[in-house]
Amino acid sequence: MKFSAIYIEEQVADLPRVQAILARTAPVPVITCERYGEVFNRKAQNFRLQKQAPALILASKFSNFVLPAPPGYGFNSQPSFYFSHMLNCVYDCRYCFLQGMYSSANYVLFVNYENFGAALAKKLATCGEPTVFYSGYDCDSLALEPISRFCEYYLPMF
Amino acid sequence: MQLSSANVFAANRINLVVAHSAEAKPLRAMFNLRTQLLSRPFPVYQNAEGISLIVSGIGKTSAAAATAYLAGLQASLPACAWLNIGIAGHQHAAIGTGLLAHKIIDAANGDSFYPPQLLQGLQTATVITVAVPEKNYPQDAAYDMEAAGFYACASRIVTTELAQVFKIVSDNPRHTLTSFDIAQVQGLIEGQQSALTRLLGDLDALLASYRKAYTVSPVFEALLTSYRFTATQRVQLQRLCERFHALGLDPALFKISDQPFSTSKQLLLQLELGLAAQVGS
Repeated sequence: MKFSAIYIEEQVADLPRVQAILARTAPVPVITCERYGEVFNRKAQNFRLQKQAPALILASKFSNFVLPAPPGYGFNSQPSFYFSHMLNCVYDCRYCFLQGMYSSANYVLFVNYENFGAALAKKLATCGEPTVFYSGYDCDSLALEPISRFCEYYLPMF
Repeated sequence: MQLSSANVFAANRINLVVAHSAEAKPLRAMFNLRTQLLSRPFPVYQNAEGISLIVSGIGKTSAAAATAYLAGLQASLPACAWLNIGIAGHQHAAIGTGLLAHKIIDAANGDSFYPPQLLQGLQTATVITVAVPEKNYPQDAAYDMEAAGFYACASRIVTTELAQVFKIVSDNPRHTLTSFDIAQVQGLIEGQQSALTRLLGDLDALLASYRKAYTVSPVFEALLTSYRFTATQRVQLQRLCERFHALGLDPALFKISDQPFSTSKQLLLQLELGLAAQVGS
C-alpha cells in the first residue's frame, strides 16, 4: 500500500511500532508534526482531491479509548462498546458516512495500542455478560491490516 | 493601467508568485508570459493558456500582499491553482536541486503549514521562511523569505491541495550567499524547466478534477431565470443540483428541469423526489 506521504507526531516518532510501520511502507515523504490535528483538521482541505492520494498520519490518542456504542447501533440486547484506533477508510464507498465525516481524506492511525488495550482490558474485566466491542466505527479496521497489524495486537485480547 | 480582470484572466488556471524579477524572467520565457499589468503595485504577466505570474518583492508580507492582489483581480473567476516558485538556501542539498515543500514553517512565529502531497515524483523538503537571509542553515530544511506569507494567504483563497511551493537551492554551507550572484538565478530556474513543466501539468490536472467536481450545473443558472426563488430556496436548488451532479445523475436533472412547474416550491419538491428515486433505485 502506498501513501502520498506519512505524517508523524513528534511524540511517537521513536516508537518501535512507528518504525515498524515505516519499514512496511513504500518510501514517501515523512513529515513530522506536533499534533495530528495540524494536518487532519485544517480548514481549506478538499476530501475528494485528497482521496486521489491519501496520506497516513501516525498519532497518539489521549482519552476516550473505549466508548459506549450509540443507541440503536444494533447491539441493544447486550452491552456494547466501540473504539477508534483509526480515522477514515481506505475504501471510497458512496453510501458510507465517512465520505463526509472529516474534512481530510488522510488516514489517522493511533499507534498507542497499549492505551487502547488497557482501556479494553479494564472494560472486559467489568463486563459480566457477553459484550460486543466494535472496532470499525470511524474506519475499516481490517483494511489497513498489512500496515497497522491491528489483528495481531487486538485479537488476543478477546 | 489596469485592465478588466474578466478579460485578462478569463482563462485563469495557474498563478505563479515569485519574489524577484530575476526569478520572473526565465519563467516568462519558459511559459511565454506577456505583460498584463505594469509595475504598480505588482507586475503581472500572463499567457494565453491561463498561466499568470506576479512579482511580489522580497519577504513574506510582500508575498502575501501580491497573492491577495492577484486573487482580487480574479475574484469573479473560478478557483485556480497557486504555486510559489523561488530560490532558497539549504543545509545540505546541492545547488540547483528542486524541492517541493511538504512543510512550511514561519520562523517568526512558529506557525506551520502542510501543503498536501498530491504531486508525486519530486524531491520534497521542509521550507523555513525567515525574515533575513539565513547564513548558518541550522536545520535540515530549505530557507526562504516568502513561502509562509504566500501559503498563509493562498490557503484562504483556494483549497490547500491547489496551493504549492517549489524552491530551487541557490546556496548551502559550501556555496554561501556571499558568493551568490543574482545573475545565477536564471540558470537555476532554467535547470528545473522539465520539473516545473511537469509540476504545472500535474497542478493543472488536479485543478481540472476540482473544477469538474464543483462546477455548478448550467441547469442551476437556467432555473434561476425561470422561477422566483427565496434566498433559502436558491441554496436548496444549488445543493440539489450539486447532488445530482455528484451522483452522475445530470440526465435525470435535465429531465426534471425541462418539466413545467407552477412554483419554485413544486420544482424543488420534484427534484428532491427525483433524487430520492434515483438514489433508492
